[in-house]
Formats: sequence, structure tokens, C-alpha cells
Amino acid sequence: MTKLVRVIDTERCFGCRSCVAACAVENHFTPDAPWNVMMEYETGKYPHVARNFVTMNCQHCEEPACKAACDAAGFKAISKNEFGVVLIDYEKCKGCKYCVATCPYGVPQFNDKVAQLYPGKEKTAYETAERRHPTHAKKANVVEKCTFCWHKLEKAVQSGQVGLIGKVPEFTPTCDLVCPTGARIFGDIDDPNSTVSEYITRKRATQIKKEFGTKPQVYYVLKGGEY
Amino acid sequence: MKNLLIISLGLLAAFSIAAQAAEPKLAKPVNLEKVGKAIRSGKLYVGKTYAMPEKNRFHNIHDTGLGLPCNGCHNVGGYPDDYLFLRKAEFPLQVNDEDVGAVHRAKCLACHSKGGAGRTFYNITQK
Repeated sequence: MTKLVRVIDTERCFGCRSCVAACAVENHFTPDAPWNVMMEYETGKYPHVARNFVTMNCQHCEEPACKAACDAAGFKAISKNEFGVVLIDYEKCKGCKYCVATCPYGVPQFNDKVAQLYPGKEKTAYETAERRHPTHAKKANVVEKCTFCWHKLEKAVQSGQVGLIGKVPEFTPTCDLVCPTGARIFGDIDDPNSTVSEYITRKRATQIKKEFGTKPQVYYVLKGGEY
Repeated sequence: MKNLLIISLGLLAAFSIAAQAAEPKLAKPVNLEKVGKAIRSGKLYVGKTYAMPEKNRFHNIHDTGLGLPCNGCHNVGGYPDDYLFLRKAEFPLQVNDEDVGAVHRAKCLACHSKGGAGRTFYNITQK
């Protein structure tokens, strides 16, 4: 089995937001519905203060609360595939926001409008692209979120190169490729020899908000230890 | 002496009744299990529209059905600075020119985890 996870090392992250920008370009997310966000906050008391940076995107939970809520409402727009990636089908989504209400991480983003990039002018090539991946199809009044760059991972699956996910750029989420400090790693946690497995063990990376029982597939190395 | 005793008892009874009337009325406790079952079986009608705004199913269940006050779920303002929540910047939301405070999802756990009165969304078991 392959279970794809991401590790984010907040000890290495210095808040440059390269991952946020890369995600915006790769996935065409809109400012009102970002898929990747940098949390920034201070801890401590003067003179012993610290600035903390934590990027957040979908946690691709093993037991996703968003999917449970969507299924309970009867829409079944959210799925979790065999690689552990949680995806939203925009054709099935009715925009009820039950997933928004249940996600403990505040991940699902309701996109209430699809605005033209340059209003009053011709649409750009990005906006008129016909062969856009379904996860990049922009539709008003649906919920969007990070897909672990499924449009890239899917190519690895289709070409039988799952083993290369997280190892070569074309099969690795773009946010993880651009980090200048190597604070983001992506790969298969079921492979005990993978970089993510080794990193999680060595740096004691942990999931956040475990009390919700959703079992996230994004691990964090946190300065303050586990929380 | 007998008259004095009767007057005293009368005054005591009057004060007691007045004190009872002054006590604020508390909302009738709701049996969450029963309400939850009634909603799921369709015996308690909470609307068909799955949507978040008031007067739709979500709020009908929580405020009308269960009698939860607004501040039972919504905080006054936003989330704390160090709280890891992606949509943190949205709060307090503006709805009809009013601030709608953030909802800490921990409040949902009581009913929406295994063994709770509501649908199970969180894979933990209530003790």
C-alpha cells in the first residue's frame, strides 16, 4: 500500500511563503479561497519572544470529518482515494458548507464567485484553457481545497511510477518543490525507508489537533513539541 | 397573639410567592438523544435545505431543535493568534452588518463523535 503524507518542519520554515505562491500558480486558487495559507504568530514575552510560521493546507485525514458531513447530507461529493488523497467533486458539490463547518483545520474554502482575472479585458490563456484538470475547474458556489497536487500524482499512477512520487519534480506537489529551506517533504509513509518515514521518526513530527480523531496525513515538526 | 401569628404566616407566604415569581425561568432541558433521533427519522422537521445561513437546516437543528443559544457555539470574536486554523482571518464574519464570531470545533465533539447524540463526524469515542 502507498499512503502519501507531507511533513512540514516549522523549525526550518522562515515564512517566505514560496509554497503559498507556488500553490496559487499551480492550482489557480483565488484570493478569497486559498488552498495554502501561512499562519504567523508570536509566542513568549518580551524580551524572550519568537515569531512562528506554520503553513496550513488540507490535512488529507484518514477519517475526514468533511467527508462524513458531506455523506450525511447525502451529496457524497468528497472522496478519499487509495493513496489517501481527499478530493472534492465540483459537479456533485452543492455548496452547503457542511464540510466547512466540520473541518477542525478550517481547510475547505467556499468559492462564491468566479471572477475574471482582468475584468473588462480578454480572458487570459489560463482562463480559457480547455484541457484543465477537473480539480482546477473553476465553478462558483462550490467548496475547494488542496488536492496534494493530484493532477501530478495521477500521472504517476497512470504511468505505473507510483514509486517516484515525492522523488521527482513532475510527481511531487509544487509547494514541496519550491521550499528554499527544505522544510516540506512529501512521500510514502508506508515505505519505512522513505525520506518522510525517516524524518517523522528522527524529528518526532506529529499531527495537529489529534483530539478530533481525524488522523491527518500532514505531520508537523513543532517548536513547542506536540500540541 | 393568634391574629399576630396569622398575619406573620400570611406575610411569609406572600414573600415566598414573590420570591418564586422573581426567579428567572430556565430553558427546559432538551433530551439530545431523543431530538437527534427525531431529526434523523424525520419526526422533527428541521427543513430540507442543507445550508449554513439561519432558517436553514443547519441552524434549525442547533438553535430551534436543540435550543442552543448563539453564544453556545459562536465566540465573541475571532480565533486566538496561535490557533492553527486555515480560515482564521475570516472571523469575525460579517453577516447582515453583524459580527458572527468563530466556532471552536471542540464544541462539536460532544455530540458529533462516536456515541454522541448527533451524526458521527469525528472518529473518537465519547466516554
